[in-house]
Amino acid sequence: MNTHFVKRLQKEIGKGNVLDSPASLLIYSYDSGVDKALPGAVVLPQTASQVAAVVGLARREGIPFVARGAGTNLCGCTIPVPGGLVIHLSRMDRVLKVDAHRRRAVVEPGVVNLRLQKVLVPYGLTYAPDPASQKACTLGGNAGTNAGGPHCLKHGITTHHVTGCEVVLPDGTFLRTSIDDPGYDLTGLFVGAEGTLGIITQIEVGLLPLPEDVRTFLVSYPSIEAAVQSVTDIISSGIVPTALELMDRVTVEAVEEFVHAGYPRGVEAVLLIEVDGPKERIRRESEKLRELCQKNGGGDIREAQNEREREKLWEGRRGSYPAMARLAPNVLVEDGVVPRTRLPEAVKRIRAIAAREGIRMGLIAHAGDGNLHPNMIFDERNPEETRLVRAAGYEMMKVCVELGGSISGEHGIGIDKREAMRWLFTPQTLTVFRKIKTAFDPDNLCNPDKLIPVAEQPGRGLDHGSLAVPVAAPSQSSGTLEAPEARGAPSQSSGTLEAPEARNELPDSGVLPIQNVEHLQRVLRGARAAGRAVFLKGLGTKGFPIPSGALILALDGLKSVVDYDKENFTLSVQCGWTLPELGALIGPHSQFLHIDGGGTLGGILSARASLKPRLRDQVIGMKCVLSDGQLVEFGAKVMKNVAGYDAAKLFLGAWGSLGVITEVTLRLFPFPPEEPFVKNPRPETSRGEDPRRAIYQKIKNIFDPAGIMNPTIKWEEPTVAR
Amino acid sequence: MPVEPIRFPDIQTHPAVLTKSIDKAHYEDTLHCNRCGFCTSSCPTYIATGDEGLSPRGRNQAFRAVLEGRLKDPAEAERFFSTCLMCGICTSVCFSEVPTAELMSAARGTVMGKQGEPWFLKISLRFFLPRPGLLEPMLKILFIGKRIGLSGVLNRIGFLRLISSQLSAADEMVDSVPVRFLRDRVRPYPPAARDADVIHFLACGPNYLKPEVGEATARILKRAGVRFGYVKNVCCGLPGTTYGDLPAARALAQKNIELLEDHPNAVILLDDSSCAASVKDYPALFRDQELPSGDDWRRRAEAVSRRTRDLSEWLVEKGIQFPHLTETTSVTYHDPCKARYAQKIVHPPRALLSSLPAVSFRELPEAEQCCGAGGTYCFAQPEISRAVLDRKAGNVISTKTDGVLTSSVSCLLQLQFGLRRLGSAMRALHLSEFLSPPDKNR
Ligand SMILES: Cc1cc2nc3c(=O)[nH]c(=O)nc-3n(C[C@H](O)[C@H](O)[C@H](O)COP(=O)(O)OP(=O)(O)OC[C@H]3O[C@@H](n4cnc5c(N)ncnc54)[C@H](O)[C@@H]3O)c2cc1C
Ligand code: SF4
Ligand code: SF4
Repeated sequence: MNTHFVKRLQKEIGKGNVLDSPASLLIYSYDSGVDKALPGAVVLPQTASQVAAVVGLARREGIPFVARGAGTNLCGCTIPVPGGLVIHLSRMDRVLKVDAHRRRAVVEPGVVNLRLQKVLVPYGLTYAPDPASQKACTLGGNAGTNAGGPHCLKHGITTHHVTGCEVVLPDGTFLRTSIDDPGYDLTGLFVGAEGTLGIITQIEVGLLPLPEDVRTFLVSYPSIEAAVQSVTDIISSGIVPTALELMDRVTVEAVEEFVHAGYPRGVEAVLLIEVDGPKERIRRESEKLRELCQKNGGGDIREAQNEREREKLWEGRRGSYPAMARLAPNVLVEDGVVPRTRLPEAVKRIRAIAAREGIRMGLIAHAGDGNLHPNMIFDERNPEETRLVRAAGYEMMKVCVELGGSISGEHGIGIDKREAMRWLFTPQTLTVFRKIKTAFDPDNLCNPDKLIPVAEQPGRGLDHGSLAVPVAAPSQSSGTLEAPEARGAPSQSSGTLEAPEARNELPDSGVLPIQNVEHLQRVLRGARAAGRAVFLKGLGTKGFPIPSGALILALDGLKSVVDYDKENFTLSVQCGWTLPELGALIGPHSQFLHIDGGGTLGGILSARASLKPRLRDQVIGMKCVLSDGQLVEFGAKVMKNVAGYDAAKLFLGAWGSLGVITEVTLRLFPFPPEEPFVKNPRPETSRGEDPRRAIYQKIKNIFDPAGIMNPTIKWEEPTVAR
Repeated sequence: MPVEPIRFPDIQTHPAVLTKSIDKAHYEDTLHCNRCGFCTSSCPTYIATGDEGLSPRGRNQAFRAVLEGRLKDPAEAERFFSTCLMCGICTSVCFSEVPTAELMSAARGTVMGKQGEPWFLKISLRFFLPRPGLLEPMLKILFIGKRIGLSGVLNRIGFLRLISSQLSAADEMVDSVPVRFLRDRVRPYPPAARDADVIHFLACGPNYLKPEVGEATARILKRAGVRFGYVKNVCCGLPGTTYGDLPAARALAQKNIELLEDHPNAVILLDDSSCAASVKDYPALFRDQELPSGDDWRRRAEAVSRRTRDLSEWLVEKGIQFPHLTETTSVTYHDPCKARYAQKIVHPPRALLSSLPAVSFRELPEAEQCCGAGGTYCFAQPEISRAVLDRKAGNVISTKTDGVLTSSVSCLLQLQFGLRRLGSAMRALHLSEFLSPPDKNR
């Protein structure tokens, strides 16, 4: 790295906060994953304004930078572009506020997860996401990877608990977001973005009260299938445990060898089950649990009798990765997710791959949500073995995708899995991801090369024998991103793409009933060619002034059930359904939606009709048609999925301004909603000077560059008096 | 079928510069660090600085790079190695049990072989420590200077700082110094008989810096009615191990082993946890296969190690009672890392204190953390040491007890210094002093 830049960094944030000795650079060339690359300098800012100053400087100099928390991610998320800048946030580690009344806390990104938990104990509160690495990993890193944890089955993963953040954008300016804001859900976009859209300098998180009672069980099974059947039965019975952790025989042996947690040896699988809640309910559920476990051949049921025993059982679970790590210099932890009922099949095929390649592997799974981790051991000094293990990992991810799952349930994509994104997402969706990245970071300096597949993979691994800093021109990677589309006003949109015959189909005014998705695609292409504004019935008609000549689409004809997976508690439907209709469909199976509102499902989602329970926590997949007629897909039929940007959230509360939601996959519950619905006052607008507006406009341009979708909502001024 | 561990490939084939078997053993240990990072946020120096290089993972990776010849100038990594407190917290949370502290001691040897330790340590290690007859007068001159306020004057004109910032840090820390060392004070007590039950090993801390601690221990032994006595032991060798001068440490250990072998059945009791851990760990000094008669020495070291007890451990083992402690007080307890991690002593002091009817014991928040003393670390790395200490002292104060107890003189001085720094009137005492306060009527 040029000394001039290092000097300026030193001047900007103080000599003591800048490292550039060869030894320091070597120490920042790795994280917990497999890849390595040498940075050119490391900074340890102490304040948000120092972060902004550093980012501003890096941008002016064209130096790529990456935010680093504890560096415990497993997919190379924090590996710098060779010669780039590492921004290590460990010195920003203050808990700024605990508001016990509102159950929120505000922290700096460098706060260690477990430390926050300890700070919260006197308040009788807890922060739900508890990655097994919680002793070390930071809240900033957790937000970056959208981390989950063994206890996420009931309470959800990081994105469900981050309620707002302060971000230094790649241009060095500040942005504050909150999920309570009107407008696009930027908070949801930053969580899980792996530091590619900006650096989070403050995080507001929601807190939960400590449960009245907790019970923990360890059950052994003669087969993985029997264990998974138990899991399915437990969930179908209406019990939502906080944790349902599966460990295979190899893992249990490795753990017992070392942790001596008292796990039974010689059994094919064990389940670690935990339930929490009010005493009386937990007593009932515990009885039921025992019964369901026994029914499926679960034996040797052990219940922790006190906190120490409970801790011991968990120590065994948390020790599963490290226990494997003891057996070899390196472990590759894969992180696939499948619909829960497909777990046995996934396990079988993954094991076959490992056996074929002669790879030693232990398996664990957050079985409740189908998230599984094959832990493969190897020695990175043996390049052939390393290649073999990585190839096997890829093949295992492919299996998960084939079974309707995803390539990452919680660890993220980083550089390790970005190529696998191609299996999961269509080229159209990947293009949307690239446009999101470009909208925030046009120079492609903010943790480039992560998350999204690059056209041509540039050589990135660190040669172990050399310490020479490869000079990486940042353009090396920026060239691989697609050129941003023209972000013009509606009038500028060219007619080349559009089918003229579609234009002729369009009525001059009034409501146009949409027959199917292809029809919708045609209509939107036509509207775009004609430069006509498009509103969605049930939305546009309510709050927004509709210009003459606008087209109003009625979507209540889109009514197929794409997939209703009762065992897995997911429902994929088109958006023309009404809630009573859906209720009639799932009610007989004692399954429930925690959604409220009138009109079509699409309307309810687009208008974010209820604020509580939060819609954003219940939509796990989405298909949308954009104004150019392209169909894009986000998410999957699985409860946990951190692959790619969480773009689906942007459509919730977008009032039809980004595109048309045609299909959603919703999470179902075995019980009716427990909290009363809180309605969203509408329509939503932001008032006064709002720096978010420029960002909103950028997001609008990504999805609807022609600006025809609900153009009256500009998040600029209140359009309707409340 | 359990998974067979992957056999670590033969190191000979690796382009490393390893020739000695002991280096190979250390290299094997660094390989077990798989960079999971689990340990980082438990490490006091990482907590204090946020620098990955000052974390256990960073240190292990740096040492590995040095051994593999990947770091052109190994001295570059010296800062990582020399700032390790050797507290051992990392190993206790590491599932691969990478012995980072031990590795850092070796790393210091490898790197500083060329570099040299701070000058005053070098002199004391090689010259004074094996010769109490010389060490004591030298320390006395320094201490008397302190007593008559000379060092304060010298410090103010920056004289000490000029010679060595470390010495001036030492001067700031130790607020009062003894004029009579323990060896003089316990002279009324007999040299150990051949068949003594207990040898009270005179550790340097209780001997030179806090003789009142050793006196208190002697009172406990006397009251308990055990047959105990003293040998002319030299320094246990800990500073040598800490600063990577293993030959110096070995020479001291051999001298002590020979002395202790004269009393083959006695328990070797130490009232300083750091030195207790050091004596218990004598066998590791002779781990190097290439040492002359290494095997023989290792066996002898093992025999001594087995007989060695840290104070709290011995008190609980023997069920010693303290009926004279009738005054109501509340205390908290700071575990010296050398007790908690090196010897895995966590329960005994708590059991002991909780069993005293007049004493209410309160647990210390972040009890697992080091106080930053690290033997002579507080002199060698004053800045980091103080950052670590301020956090510790804050936690001690938060217990709102009458005082904090501990079982190592190095921690004791550090805690007293820390409480003073934060302007607290809370007391810090050695466990012995608390259990056997000086008789006011005598
Ligand atoms: C033993 C072990 C067990 C694990 N168990 C789990 C588990 O149970 N569940 C799980 O989900 N993960 C687990 N992980 C993976 C890892 O701990 C998580 O991914 C964790 O969230 C990473 O946090 P970190 O602080 O180490 O972040 P880092 O690894 O430093 O960074 C992760 C990503 O976040 C970005 N980032 C960091 N700080 C910021 C910021 N301030 N603003 C924006 N972006 C930022 C980085 O650029 C990077 O892309 C485990 C890892 C290990 C080694
Ligand atoms: S020392 Fe242990 S805990 Fe720390 S990074 Fe290495 S393997 Fe992980
Ligand atoms: S011994 Fe202590 S200071 Fe040294 S690396 Fe381990 S935890 Fe850190």
